[in-house]
Amino acid sequence: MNAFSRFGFLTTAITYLLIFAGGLVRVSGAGMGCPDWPKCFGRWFPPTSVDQLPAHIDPVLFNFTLAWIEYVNRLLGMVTGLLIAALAVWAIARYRRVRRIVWPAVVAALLVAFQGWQGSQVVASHLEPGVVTVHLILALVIVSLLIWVTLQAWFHDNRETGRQAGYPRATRKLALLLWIVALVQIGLGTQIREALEIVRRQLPLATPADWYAAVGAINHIHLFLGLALAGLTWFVGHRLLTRSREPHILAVQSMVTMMVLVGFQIALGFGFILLGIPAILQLLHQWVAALYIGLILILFVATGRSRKRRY
Amino acid sequence: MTGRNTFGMLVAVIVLILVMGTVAMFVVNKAQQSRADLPVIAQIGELEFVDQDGELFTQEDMLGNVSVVAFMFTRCPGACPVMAGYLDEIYEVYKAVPNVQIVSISVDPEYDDPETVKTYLLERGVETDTWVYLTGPLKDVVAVCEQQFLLAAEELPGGHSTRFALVDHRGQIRGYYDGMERGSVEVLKTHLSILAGQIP
Repeated sequence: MNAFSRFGFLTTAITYLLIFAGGLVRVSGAGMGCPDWPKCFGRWFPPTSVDQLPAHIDPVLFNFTLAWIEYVNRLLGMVTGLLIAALAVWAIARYRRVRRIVWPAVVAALLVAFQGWQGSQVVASHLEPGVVTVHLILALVIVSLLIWVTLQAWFHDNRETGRQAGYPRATRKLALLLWIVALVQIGLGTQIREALEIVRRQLPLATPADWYAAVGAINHIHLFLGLALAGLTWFVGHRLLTRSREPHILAVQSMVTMMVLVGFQIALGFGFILLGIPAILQLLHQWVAALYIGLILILFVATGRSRKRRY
Repeated sequence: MTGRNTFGMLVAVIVLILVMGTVAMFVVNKAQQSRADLPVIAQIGELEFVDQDGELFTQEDMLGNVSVVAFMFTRCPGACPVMAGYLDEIYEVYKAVPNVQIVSISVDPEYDDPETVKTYLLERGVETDTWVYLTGPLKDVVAVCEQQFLLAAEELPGGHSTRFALVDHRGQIRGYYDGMERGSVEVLKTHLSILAGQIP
């Protein structure tokens, strides 16, 4: 791996860490931990005691733990933003004529700047569920662009890698299908999360049974489509692992990981039903879905390298 | 080699998810503890007012219930409409929750009597007794406001406090919230739910 691709990989990994941190802010209820933006209680570092609050801010808004959870998310967001900006500058300098590397890198940098501003809107809207969803979707778009840039740069400098591989017929079309179904699943997941948040606000002491009733049929669709996606993932994986010739290592590794992750997602889904939608499981469910989306992209790009006939 | 690499990577992914899950569990528990840790500010003593139905309301009616207490008055043109808007929200959300009540105390007894405040509540669509509006002599209102709720009561009725006080089921004040600020009211709802969940 060349230095640019290594930096791209690091940036992608940190972006995934940021997606996790963002989810953690949500499930720990720390979204309003800093009621202002970009500062936190009017300071660049969160206050350590109520005495340090500015006069116009109600002291009851201050909770040291929640302020720091939100602050770490913002700090990590800033670091990620700078890394992505550096990646874009490096891409322009090094791959000026390679549009498929430069443009996605520049778009990722613009989007991450927009995402920072959109984060302020999340706070300004007092965590309006729809605004929170936009924040997550943007994060998934940004991380997908980073994966794309990293892979393209790597393949650009290793032109022959993966060319000799042969994959079963229609593998790429199936990967595309997996990607579409996974996106629909994530869309449904965000709608369920929004419905849960709204019902929790309206019925603060409701039980998980009340939540399920309020979410309605979309929950069942998410469950069955999830099972279908898992089945499809295992089907595509089984074909690819048993019928490919000299498959690229990235294709194998992404496929195997996807097969494990869908199993994990189903276990988490049943965990929701048994344990009443605990915060930790929600967070892991969302994060693993984000990882899965990235892995499909890797599978799609890696299998696209092949110049052999499909069989 | 590919097989060994793939196996190693899989183990790494699973360990990663477990580590992240453990970190998250620690953080979420910390967050929950930090929220539940509400100070006991003061104990409510004796009070005696009349509610919108003309019935006696004393500190006994606070015990066993979590109460959001607001000092306001019905013909108030300034802050009260904003405060009342937030109280409407709280009323709607918690009216079906047992042992949660809103207690408005009039700082304008010259104008507000049980009939006036009852009309006011009916106009707001209040149909249950989970929102009571109390009236009584001005000196009693000032005494309760200043000495028991530790809130300013100067130049009434216009100079009343815009803070909501949150009182737990033991009659202890557990927090004050800016009744003019959306963010403070959201925190109030969170604390209200925590205290309501603690009623035996």
